[in-house]
Amino acid sequence: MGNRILIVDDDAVNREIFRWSLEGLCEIDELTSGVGAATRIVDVDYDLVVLDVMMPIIGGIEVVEDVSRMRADLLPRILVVTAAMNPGLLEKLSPFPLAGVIERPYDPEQISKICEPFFKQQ
Amino acid sequence: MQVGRQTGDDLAAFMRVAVRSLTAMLQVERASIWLLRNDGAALHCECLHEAPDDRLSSEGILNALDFPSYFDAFKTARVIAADDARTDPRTCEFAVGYLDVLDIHSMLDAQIRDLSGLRGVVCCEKTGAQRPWHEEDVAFAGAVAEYIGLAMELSERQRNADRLRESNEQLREAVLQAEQARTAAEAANRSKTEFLANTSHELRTPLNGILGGVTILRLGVGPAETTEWLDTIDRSGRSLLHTINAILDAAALQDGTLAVAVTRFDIGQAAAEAISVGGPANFRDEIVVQAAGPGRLEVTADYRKTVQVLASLVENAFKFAGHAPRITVGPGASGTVRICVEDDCPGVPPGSEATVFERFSQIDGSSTRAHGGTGLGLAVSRELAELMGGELGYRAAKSGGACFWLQLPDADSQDGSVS
Repeated sequence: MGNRILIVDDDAVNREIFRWSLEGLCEIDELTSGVGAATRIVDVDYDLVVLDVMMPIIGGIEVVEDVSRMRADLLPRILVVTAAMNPGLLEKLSPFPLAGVIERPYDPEQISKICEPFFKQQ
Repeated sequence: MQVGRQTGDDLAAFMRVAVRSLTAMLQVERASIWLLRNDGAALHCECLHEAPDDRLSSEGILNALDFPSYFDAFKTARVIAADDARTDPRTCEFAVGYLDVLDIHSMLDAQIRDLSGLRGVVCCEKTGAQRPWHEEDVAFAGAVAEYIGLAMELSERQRNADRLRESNEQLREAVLQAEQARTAAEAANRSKTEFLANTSHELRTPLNGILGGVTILRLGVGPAETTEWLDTIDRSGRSLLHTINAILDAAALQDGTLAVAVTRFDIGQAAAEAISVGGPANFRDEIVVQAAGPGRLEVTADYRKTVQVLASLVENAFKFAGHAPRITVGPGASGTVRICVEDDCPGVPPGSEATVFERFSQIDGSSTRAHGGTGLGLAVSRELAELMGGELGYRAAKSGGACFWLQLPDADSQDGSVS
């Protein structure tokens, strides 16, 4: 079985950069906001979820909270990315055992380097 | 006589009762109350009762310099009982100018004291003939003087209590004001912190698009993809410019250095450009500008700033409603053109209509900050609209969503006003 990742980001360019960077390495699903993201994360066995913070309607933090309520064991597969890091965000997310909270990378090489550790060896 | 809780007015009334009692009980023509000035160098008459005409008055000052023996005497003795006041060494100083004139023969003076010490003197004067003061007369005058001292003490305490209560209230008021000021400062500070966090988000998101696109192009992609990425970079660049413009305009508005360049242009074109700046790429085609009537509607305004205001409204619709807004252009209030940007999101809660136009404010500022944005958009947009002679407003849409409208001067009804 191949690797599967979910990108939750309202910004089309960001999704595209990730898609481009990870092409061929895994199967990629996309959501353009946090709406339905938590259920999807619980339903589909993703190897990695790249989750944006600031999104319309439902933001990344709410998605993390929802997943934590439903399947806290999946939290280590969620990588939270943000355009701009700030201490308040880190504090809000500190209770959750996430894969990480990072400033969103834009360099395709860096993106694949960050994501690869989550993929199963083929 | 009743010594109750005295206020200033009550004390004066109490003194009037006291002097009347003295004239009545001691059968004297004159009874008065004199209080020591703070420096102790003079006595001021607070209250005088003249029994023959039943007259009350409060005039007269006795200076210590003029009557040194009397001052020495009344300060040292609890009571001065001078049967023959004109010869008594303690009171003879009054003889020529006072006792003779008023035909006073005997004086009975008693110290008024309170807890702080000597405060004044009660003075009883017998006219017409001499009056030998008996022990009970002295006791009575002393008792009245004591009562007056007590009344003054109580009055003073009352005044102090009032003053204390007053300063307590002032203090409480000051504390309240300080707390309000602190709350306001904290809110402003929080808004600015949120603003900084949001601004860096708004600046970095398109910057990531630009840098990511450039990296991808450098790695080498096919011609079709190259065009796509160039488009992406272009759009990200415009969006970045839009955010930077909003921040610069906000700063310029703040120190009043913002200038508008008014020209005549087609509002439909401005709206189309606003969509390309404010709307996400994959939604752009969904946004259609509907004209209320045939023909072009031209306005006189600053083109770039009009685009910026409209782009902010489009951007807001996507942020808050998550879908493309409906844009309609039509005639507004007399001599204006109105552009409405409407969405189906619950919109602005009733009562918060004014708040959304405040700087750094987002109604949901506390929550997950899911909406992003600098929070400057509407505040700056409204000021820009007003600078261009227009107006920016909000109304709840019929659909239940939010409708923000921009009204600008109609070029055709402004003919000749703009060259």
